Amino acid sequence: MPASKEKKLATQAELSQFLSRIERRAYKHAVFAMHDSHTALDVVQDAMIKLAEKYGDKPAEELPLLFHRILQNTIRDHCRRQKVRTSWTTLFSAFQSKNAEEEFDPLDVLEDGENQSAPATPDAHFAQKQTIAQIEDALKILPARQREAFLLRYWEGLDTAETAFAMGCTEGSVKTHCSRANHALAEALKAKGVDLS
Amino acid sequence: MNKYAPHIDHGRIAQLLTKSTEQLDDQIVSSLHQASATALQRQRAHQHAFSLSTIGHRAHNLMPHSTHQWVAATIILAAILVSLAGYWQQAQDKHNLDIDILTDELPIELFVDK
Repeated sequence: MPASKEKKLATQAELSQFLSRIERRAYKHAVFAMHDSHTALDVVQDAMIKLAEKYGDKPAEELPLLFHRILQNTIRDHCRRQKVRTSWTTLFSAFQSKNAEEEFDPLDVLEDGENQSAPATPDAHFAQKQTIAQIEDALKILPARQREAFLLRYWEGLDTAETAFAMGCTEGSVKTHCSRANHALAEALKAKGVDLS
Repeated sequence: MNKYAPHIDHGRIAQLLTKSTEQLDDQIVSSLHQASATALQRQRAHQHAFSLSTIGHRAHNLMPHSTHQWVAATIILAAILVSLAGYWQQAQDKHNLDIDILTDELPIELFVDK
């Protein structure tokens, strides 16, 4: 991170502007990772509060990078907690009847999402919506680190060093994750018949 | 894994993803606005708490911390108390003498030249 001594600290208005600018994109990041709208909203709120409380007085230029790092860490924390909760539920469900084993699986939701976008119409707006849905579905099934790297690098426009900072890993790892994400995404979109080359 | 991955247009994907953020439900958008407002409120509250804790921190700095500082503080306090007690005693003696002069009840020793 560049030194913040010479930079002007963010005002309340700048922080407010930043949050309103980033909120929708942050929500999308969280939805891709959590597969659930309510959990995604919780994650975004947690990340915003952490940024405002701990780094709200940092220079305005540093806020995007800090926010992405906080958001990625918050997503990871929620995933870990969800995993622990699921493992406890599985443990207890072993004592219950066999029917109780049918629990929530994110892949089921993904399959439903594909079915919803099946009917195609000539309408351009609908076609675009369908393409977006297919891209989002392809992104959701990417491994978490590959998706993070891809979104930060190509959607948020961060360079390799900034992405590495936001993800808390090396630049080499970012390059590897991006390359694999590119390959997987291209394959998934090709399989769906989406041409974005 | 296939070595030659097909090329994808990152710019187009980014454009479509940005477009997707404009198509969010009103309920989600209002929840996001609410989240931003909550974060800003928490920042204000945090700043206020920080300034109060700064005052407390400064007051805490004035208190003695080591044994030496405590001993020195106790000596200073004791000296102040002794001085105050001496001053009060002297004032009380003068007051008694004045009463004796006014009531002509001075003992004979006071008139003897020592």
